Amino acid sequence: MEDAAIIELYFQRSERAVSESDKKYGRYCGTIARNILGNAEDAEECVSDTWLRAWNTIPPTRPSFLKAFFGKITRNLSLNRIEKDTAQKRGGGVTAAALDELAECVADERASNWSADGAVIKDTLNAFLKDLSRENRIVFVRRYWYFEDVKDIAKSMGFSESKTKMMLKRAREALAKKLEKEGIEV
Amino acid sequence: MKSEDLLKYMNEIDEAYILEADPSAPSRTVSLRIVSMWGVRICAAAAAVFLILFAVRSAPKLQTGGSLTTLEMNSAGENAAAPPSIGEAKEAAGFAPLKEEAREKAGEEAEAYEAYEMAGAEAYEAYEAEEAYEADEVYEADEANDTYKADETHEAYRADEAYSMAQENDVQPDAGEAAEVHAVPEEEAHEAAGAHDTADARSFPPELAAGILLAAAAAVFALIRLILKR
Repeated sequence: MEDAAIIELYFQRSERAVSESDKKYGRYCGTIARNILGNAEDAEECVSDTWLRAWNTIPPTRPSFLKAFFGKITRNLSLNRIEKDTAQKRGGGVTAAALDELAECVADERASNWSADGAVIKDTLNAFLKDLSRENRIVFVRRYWYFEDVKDIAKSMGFSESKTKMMLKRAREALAKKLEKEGIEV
Repeated sequence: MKSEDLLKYMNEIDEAYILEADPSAPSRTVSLRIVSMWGVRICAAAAAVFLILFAVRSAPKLQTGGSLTTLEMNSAGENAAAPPSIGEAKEAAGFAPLKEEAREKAGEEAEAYEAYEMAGAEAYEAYEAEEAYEADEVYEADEANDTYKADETHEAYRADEAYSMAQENDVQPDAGEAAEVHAVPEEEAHEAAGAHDTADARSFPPELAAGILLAAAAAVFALIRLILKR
């Protein structure tokens, strides 16, 4: 079913919207949740929560890209779940590693009194991604948005693992400079 | 700012970037990039091998091909594959046996002439002795023989002259002239004169051709990679 038809089902408050969404994007959202949570059961719950959140958001929201819209919801829910789950240290190993890697882009948590506007951060991130080459951008987003393992990224992109790590390292350094340049304390 | 905050703000990036990096979508671009990457590596390595092979094989020729000193130039000239001289061309065209034959004939005719001369003298004596009929016959024969000998001698002289000039100047013969002077079929002369050039054309190194083709293929793959990177 086309995305427009699925959105129309949400607007009509048809329960079929959820089943069609799960049929078309369940696997995609499941992959994101599994990458972040590292647990199949938790991931399944997160995907179910995604359809519920979508049901509550559409209408009035009419997403331009339904796939990315569902992906964002799943990612957000998964990160929130990890945050709340204090017993399990940062959930999956991949997410913990990604957080550690990105820590070099941001200021020391204790020393930082950062209070930048969210819109500025968003614009800075988009400008940073725009400046990256297509290859570097895909690798960066697959690592820090989809939380894919470095080994999997390297394999699917046809790079060596060390080259992929090097690309990520340079991208993080560039991001740190970009944030600093925009006045965001790092 | 905490790293967790940064990860959360990552959620707000443009959807185009999210879809671009979608790992679940089969990407033709990624496949093409992988193919082009290996294409560059394989073609460049193969081109390097062929070009090195070509360089190794042509190294001895290059060593004698310098032009810094007259001595080196002379040495190179002696060692290099020179175009055939007119003598070689004539030999290749089958002129030499004909020339020898002409000389032998000329020698025989010269002896005959002497004999006829003697006979002429006798005939003259006979004529003097009023044996007119016989004397006329002998004279006519003498005249005819003389004309023939002159032609033969002239042809041999021209051949010798051309041969000497060629040896002195070491000049590539004109096929048409050689054929005309030496009475050799023009087609054969052309073949003999052009043999060297033909051999040169056939000896274009295949390693160089393969190296150039593979290097061009590697460049094409590299261009594809460059386009895909942007």
